[in-house]
Amino acid sequence: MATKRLTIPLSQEDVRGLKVGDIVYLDGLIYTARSLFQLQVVEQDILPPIDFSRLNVMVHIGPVMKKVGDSWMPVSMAPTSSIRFEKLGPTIIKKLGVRAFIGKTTMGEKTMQAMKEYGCVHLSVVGVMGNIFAKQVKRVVEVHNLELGIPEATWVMEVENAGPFIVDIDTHGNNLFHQVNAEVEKRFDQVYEKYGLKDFAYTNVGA
Amino acid sequence: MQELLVSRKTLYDLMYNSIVMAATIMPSDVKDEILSLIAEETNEIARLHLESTMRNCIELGEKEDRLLCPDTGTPLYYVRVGNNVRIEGGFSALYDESKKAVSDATANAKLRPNMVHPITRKSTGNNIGHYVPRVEIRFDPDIDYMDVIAVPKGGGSEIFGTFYRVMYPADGRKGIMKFILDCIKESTYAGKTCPPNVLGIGIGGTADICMKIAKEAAVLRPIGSRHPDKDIADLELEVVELIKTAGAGPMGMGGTSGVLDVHIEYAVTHTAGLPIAFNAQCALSRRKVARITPDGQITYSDFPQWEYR
Repeated sequence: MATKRLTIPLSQEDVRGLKVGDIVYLDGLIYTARSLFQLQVVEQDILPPIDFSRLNVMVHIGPVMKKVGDSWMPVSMAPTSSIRFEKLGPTIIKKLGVRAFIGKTTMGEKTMQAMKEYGCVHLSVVGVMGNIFAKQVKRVVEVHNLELGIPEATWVMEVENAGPFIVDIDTHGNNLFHQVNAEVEKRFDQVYEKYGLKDFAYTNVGA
Repeated sequence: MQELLVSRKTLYDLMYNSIVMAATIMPSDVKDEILSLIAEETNEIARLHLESTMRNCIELGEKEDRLLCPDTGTPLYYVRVGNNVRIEGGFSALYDESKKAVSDATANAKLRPNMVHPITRKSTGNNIGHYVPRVEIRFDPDIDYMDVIAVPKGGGSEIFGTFYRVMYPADGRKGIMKFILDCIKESTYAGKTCPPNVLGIGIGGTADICMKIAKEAAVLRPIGSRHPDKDIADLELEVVELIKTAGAGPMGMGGTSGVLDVHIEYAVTHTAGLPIAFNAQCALSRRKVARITPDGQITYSDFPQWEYR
């Protein structure tokens, strides 16, 4: 378990050097994305005017934002569950050249495959961190798709020493949650055994 | 019993303040339980999760008047009211003032605008719309006050932590146990429900009663409270231990501290069936009670009294 501080844009080498369980801090420009933006990219090929070769860290998040004078500031920023975007993951990586997703939970097999192939990792939050992350935002650079609503808009922000995030999917095909779950499953098996549930089936009233 | 007349302005204040306080102040029983989980936890990543949550919510949250979590969820209100209570303009003011309070709290960035049309996905912009906020009213002949309980119910625990099944009498206790274990395994994987959770389990009733008591057990019963029926109370503690042993941990990354509590409620049910429901509450278990008494005093607390047994 290593701790690394990386600068965005992340290079192929940066992400290939990470392993599940590593702790990462980031500096540079990030952008936010939820379902509507990703659906536009995947289904309609609508991309906001962002230089994705410079911005390659996508945060799955719907921030709470506040306008102070002419500028926006995040009130709270806690990443959301990435697994909900699994269907969109492989295309998003290919089209936008994402090197790291910051999110919660994990992603599925197809996205993991694309991450291995193109060089991309998934970074998970540590606890509830909406205020910690908001404080690490130095400024809001620009916003796109604001008509989709504040949580669904694409916010470009500059962050400083943002984190900690835990690498839960690396580019070598490893998933931290699969590893934890293999142990959890074994213990659950013993519990099912203890309660005599191994061969239990619910009453079936279907055809 | 002395009459209590609540003005619309006061009602609005109770509803606005309770939902804003719920979104910005961690209930004391939740704090205590997370601290005791940190003290017992030996897994390093698990402790990091819990300590980060506390720092986020106390030093950078409460002390700076920031939200505990940006997902302020779906606004729910539970109102418990004595027979001596009257409301200016009649009881339907509960619906009107709840909409005003939630809409204003959203405009003031105390609630995130989460609510959308389920099919067009268009945001209502102010968190109000058909059926939302939910206002659940209970008339209680034994009290002379009114409690307004606000619960901003987060999306992760609601979306990934809700299950329902109709079983049959022959499925019995084994069926109940299998359902509970399956739900825990499914919902805590990869931290989908933001563990450590409070898990609510409803057994019996009709489909809607069953889910309602499961949700109320999850979001309203304080941590450490036990069902008065000893059999049920024992089962609650047994399931807590099972989750600790299984070791999915906070945010599903391993450890013994993946549960705040398990609350089980039952309702009498039709002799032909055995409905069961599961609803998870997230690690913050946000809730606030605003109470107004006949002398006009308003007090706020973290401890709802809602059970109807």
